[in-house]
Amino acid sequence: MKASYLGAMGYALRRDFPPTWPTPPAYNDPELSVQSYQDGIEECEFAEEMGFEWISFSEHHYSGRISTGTPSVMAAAVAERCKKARIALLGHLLPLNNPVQIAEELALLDNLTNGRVVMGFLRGTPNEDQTYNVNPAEGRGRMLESMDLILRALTEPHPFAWEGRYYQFRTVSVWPRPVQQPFPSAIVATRSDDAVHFAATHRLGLGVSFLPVEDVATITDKYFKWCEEAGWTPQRDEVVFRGSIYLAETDEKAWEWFHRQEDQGRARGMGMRSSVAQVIQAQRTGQEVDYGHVFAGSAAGDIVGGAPGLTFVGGPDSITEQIRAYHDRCGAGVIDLFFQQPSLDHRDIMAEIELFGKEVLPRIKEF
Amino acid sequence: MVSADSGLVYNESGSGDPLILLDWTPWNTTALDCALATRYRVFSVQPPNTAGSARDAAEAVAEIANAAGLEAYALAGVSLGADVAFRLALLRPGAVSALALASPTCIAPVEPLRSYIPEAMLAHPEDAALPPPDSERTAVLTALAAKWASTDSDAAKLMPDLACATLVIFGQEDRLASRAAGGAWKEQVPNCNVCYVYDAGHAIAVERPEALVNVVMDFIERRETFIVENRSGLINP
Repeated sequence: MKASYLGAMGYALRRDFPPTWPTPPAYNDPELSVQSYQDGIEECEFAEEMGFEWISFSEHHYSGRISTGTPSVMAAAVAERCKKARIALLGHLLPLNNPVQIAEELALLDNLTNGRVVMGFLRGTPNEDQTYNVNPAEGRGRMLESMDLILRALTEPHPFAWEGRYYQFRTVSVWPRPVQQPFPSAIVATRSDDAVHFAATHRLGLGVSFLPVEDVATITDKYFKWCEEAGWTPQRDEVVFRGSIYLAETDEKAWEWFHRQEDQGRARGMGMRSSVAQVIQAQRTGQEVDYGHVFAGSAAGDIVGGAPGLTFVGGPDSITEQIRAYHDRCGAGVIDLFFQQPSLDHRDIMAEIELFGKEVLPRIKEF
Repeated sequence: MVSADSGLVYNESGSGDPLILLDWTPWNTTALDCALATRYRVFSVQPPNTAGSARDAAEAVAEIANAAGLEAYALAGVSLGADVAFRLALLRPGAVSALALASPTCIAPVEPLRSYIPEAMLAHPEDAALPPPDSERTAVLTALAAKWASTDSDAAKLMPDLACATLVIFGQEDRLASRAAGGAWKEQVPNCNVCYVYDAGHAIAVERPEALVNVVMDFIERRETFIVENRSGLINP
């Protein structure tokens, strides 16, 4: 099993943010922001040194917690410092973006890294539908069409036009061609049957995030079944699980830290105020919504509520066994880990990476 | 419906510049016909009951154009009709102002088309909302395809001779055309654009009629310049 380090590039003082989305730009001090990115890049370099085989980036917007709204830019910067690791875009939020531009970015990155890119296709969290004014009801359709168009754009040897449901282009001719032929390794990050089926029938990998083992297994079981029906078997690297982690020297220390976060209201990430979440979810599923209970935004940001907590907590032995469960039960071959919990600083993260590299990584590589 | 001397049957509708349409799939779809008739004088020709080759069928269609006194016209064909439209554009190079070929089968098919199996022509045969194919029409087209598979094998050699502005359209999930088909048209035909219609199989007019109409109409109207965006992006003046 391989480990992947999620280069979240969180802002150094993210512990001071209100539990809201979006994070108001007023919280950002450019000088500290510059240092935060340098710290984040240093963490990626150190993770590679400690044996992480992938460095991943994820498109997330309007927040200092995962500060990579344009993941390709971040990936290009890190790829110049990390010369061995695979550079995994896990991934682009397809409904929000121009698919042809994504194809161009991926192809260029694959050239810059001499074929080390892993590309990931994501729909995005519900709040992010607001980022570029995407109607939540169209997100699913946009994602499915984008995947087809990106794969066509990366592989078609001649200029072509595209007449889609959501995208129309009269001239697509992506340059350069990717180094990996016919296209870079691809992961569809999803929990939805239609996207899982797309991955299986198009011979693409699968990524699942932040769910308990049995919930992930329900998804991967379907994926493996549909892959078999499509006449192929995924490689180990083609099933990725992303989870958040807090690792300490012992279980006791880890849980002590965790309970302290709970007491301070930091154990759960950011979420969405229920009324706004209801509107977005209703539009995604085509339900009607009572707009009378939806409130206008405030200067401090206007979406609060619950989100998934930590996936892995403990000392090296416990973390190893927790990860093993995803490997054994779900078939995950790559574990993509989010270390930058809000209350941790750069020094904490570096120490955690070192501990993981010395005490956990050698063992999970044996899986 | 009008019966021509050649034995072909066609329907004339609309007004404007003339356009010949050969929409030959197992479905009696009218989306393309109706849309084109809003701007053009459309001669919608039905597939012949018999024809020795696509070239023979093209000559029969040319006779309709001659009889109607058409010196120049746009030409659109679908499936086997696209193969005939390709031949007609070669036969009358000065007459065809713009050529739109949807799902042609004569270049780089997965295998030579010998029969029409409607289910294989759809991206989503499981979609119960789609109209059923016409069995009589399916039989006619199957007979033509079986015959033409051996008589029209020279199509690839003729591609460089195609002089008019050409648009070739494939469904993204067309299981009858090989992955190389679009590239072959683009490489071999001097003035050719290739378009893929998302979420459609071979029978684009059945599954994505609006998309097919949109791209064909735009191309016939603007020919080579259809690649230039001409819709306003202005939200509020």
